Amino acid sequence: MSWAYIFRRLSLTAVTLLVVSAVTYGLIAIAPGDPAELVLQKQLGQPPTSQQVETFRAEHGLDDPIHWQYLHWLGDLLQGDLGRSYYHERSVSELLFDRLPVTVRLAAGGLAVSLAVSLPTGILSAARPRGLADHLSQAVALLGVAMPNFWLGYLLIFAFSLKLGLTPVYGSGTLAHLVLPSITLGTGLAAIQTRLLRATLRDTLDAEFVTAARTRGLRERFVVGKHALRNALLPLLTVVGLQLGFVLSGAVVVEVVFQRPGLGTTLVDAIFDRNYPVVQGVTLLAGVLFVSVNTVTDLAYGLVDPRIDVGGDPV
Amino acid sequence: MSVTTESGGEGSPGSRTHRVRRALRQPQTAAGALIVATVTVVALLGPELLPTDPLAQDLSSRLGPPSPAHPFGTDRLGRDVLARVVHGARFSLGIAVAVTAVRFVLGVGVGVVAGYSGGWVDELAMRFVDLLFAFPGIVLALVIAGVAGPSLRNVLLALAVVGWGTYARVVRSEVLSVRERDYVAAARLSGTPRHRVVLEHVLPNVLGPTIVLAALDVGTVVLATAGLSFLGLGAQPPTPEWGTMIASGRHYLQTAWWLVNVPGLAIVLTVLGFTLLGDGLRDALDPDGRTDGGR
Repeated sequence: MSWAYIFRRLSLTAVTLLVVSAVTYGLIAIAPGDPAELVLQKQLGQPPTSQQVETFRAEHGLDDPIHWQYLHWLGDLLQGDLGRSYYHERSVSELLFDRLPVTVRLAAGGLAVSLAVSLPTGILSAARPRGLADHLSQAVALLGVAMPNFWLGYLLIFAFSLKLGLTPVYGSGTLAHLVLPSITLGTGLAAIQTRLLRATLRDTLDAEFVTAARTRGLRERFVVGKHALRNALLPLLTVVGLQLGFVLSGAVVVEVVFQRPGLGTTLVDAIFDRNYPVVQGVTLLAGVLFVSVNTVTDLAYGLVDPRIDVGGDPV
Repeated sequence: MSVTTESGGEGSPGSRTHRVRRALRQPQTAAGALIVATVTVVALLGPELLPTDPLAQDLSSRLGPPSPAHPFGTDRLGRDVLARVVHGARFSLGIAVAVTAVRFVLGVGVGVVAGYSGGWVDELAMRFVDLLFAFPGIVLALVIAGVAGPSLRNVLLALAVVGWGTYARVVRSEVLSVRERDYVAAARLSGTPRHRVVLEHVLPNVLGPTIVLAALDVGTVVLATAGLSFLGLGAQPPTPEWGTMIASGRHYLQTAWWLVNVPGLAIVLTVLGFTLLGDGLRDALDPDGRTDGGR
C-alpha cells in the first residue's frame, strides 16, 4: 500500500468519470428528439408554444454546441454545482441527497441478508462436502445466480404481500417496506458469496496448518471456525466489495419493482424524461460510490492480510 | 492448456476433447448441455414448429388461464403466452449470443494484440480496459442504451461495449505466457510471418479459458438483456421478449400469475443451462480458475 497506488487509483477514477460523462454528452447529442419539447409537454400537459420552447432552451443552455454544454457542465461541477433538474427547477445535488439514503438502506439490507445466508451455508457445506446440506445449498445457490431479481421480486410480492398480507406491497419508509426488497437484492449476492466461501474454505481446510491443528487433536468445530474461516473471510471481503457494481445495478431493478424512490428509479425516470442533468448526476454519483468502495476494500484487504501488497501490479 | 494440447492428440487422455467429453459425463454439466441445446433448438426452430402468431390478438379471451387451447394462458390482449415465450427465445437468446460474440471477438483481438506486441500498445490497451472496470458495467450500459434511445439494437451495442474487458485481460495474460514458449520462438525464428505466428501458434493456445468465459457470459447477458428490457430500454412492445413480457405482465400479478411467471421461468432455465455448462467446462478446461482472473 503506497501513496503512489492511491494516487494512481484516484487519477484512473477521474479519467473514467471524465470519459463516462463525455460519452453521455456525446450520446445526448445524437439522441433523437428535443428534450425541451418533451419536458414542457409533460409539465404543461399540452404541446408547448415555440416561444416556451425557446425560453426553455435558452434557460438551460441547450442552444450552445454540445461540447460547449459539456465544458460548461464540467466547470460548474468543479464548483460543486451539478446543475438543475429540467423539472420543477430543482437542484440536482439536492435531489441526489434526497434519494441516496433510500438506495443506501436497500444496499445495506441486501448485504445483510446475503451475509446472513452465505456465512452459515458456506461454512456448513464446506465442513461436510457432498453431504445433504452441501448439495442442497449448492443447488439453491445455483438457482440464486440464475434468478432475475425482477422476477424474484414479483414472486415475493405475490406470496408475502398479496396472498399472505404480511408485508406492504410498494413504496418505502418503514422497516417493513425494506424486507422484501432486501431479500430480492440479497439472494443473488448470497448465491455468489456462498459458492465462493465454500470453495475457499475447502482450500484452506486442505492446508497444512489446518491439518496440523487437527493432528493436535483440536475439535473439528474449532478447526473450521477458528483456523479455516479466518483465512476464508478475506476473499469473501473482496467479493463483497466487488459486488458493489452488482448491488448498484440490482438496486435499479429492485427499486423499480418495489417502486422505491431511490437513485435507481430516479435514473430510469430521468432517462425516459430526457432529464439529462439528473442522468449525468446519478451516473457520476454511481461511479464515485463504486470507486470509493473498491478502494476501501483494497485498503481493508491490505490491513487484514499484511502479506498482500495491493500496490503491486494489477493482473 | 497449451501443454496438454501439445502432448496429447485428439481424443487421447488429457487432450481438450477428452476433457470436455469427461466433463459432459458429469450429471450437472450434461443437464446444462441438454438445457442449452433445447433452448437453442427452440430459438432456431420454435417459430416454425409452433405456427401460432405471437402477435395475434383475441379480445374475446383476454387474460385467460392455462387451458388446452392456450397451455400457458393468454395476456391482456388475448395473445397466446406459449407462442410469445417460444418466439421470444429468438430475441433473448439471439441478443445474448450476439453480445457475447462481439465481446469475444473484441476482447480476444485486443488481448492478443496487446499481449503479443507489448510496449506502448499493451500499455494503452490495458489502461483502456482499466477504465471499463472502474465503472459498474450494467449501470453504464443502462445509461448508454437509455440515452441513445430504447431499442434492442442499442441494448446489444451497450452491453457489448461495456463487457469485453474480461476477455482482453484473460487473453493477454495467456498470450504473455505462451509468447515465450519454444514452439512460438521456433516459428518466429524460422521466418514465419508475424500474423501467421499469432493465428496458428498463439491464438489456438490461449482460447481455452475464453471459451469457458463465453459460456458463462451468455447466461449473464441473458439476465442483463432481460433486465434492461424489463426497465423499458430494450425490446419494445409488442415484441415478445422475455423481460418486456414480465414488465407488461406485472400489472396482472393478482389476476393472471402466468404472465410474469412463464417468461420468468424461461429466463431462469436458460441462465441455469449456461451456468451449469460453463461451470462444467471450467472444471474440465481451466482447473486453475484463470477465468476468474479478470473479474
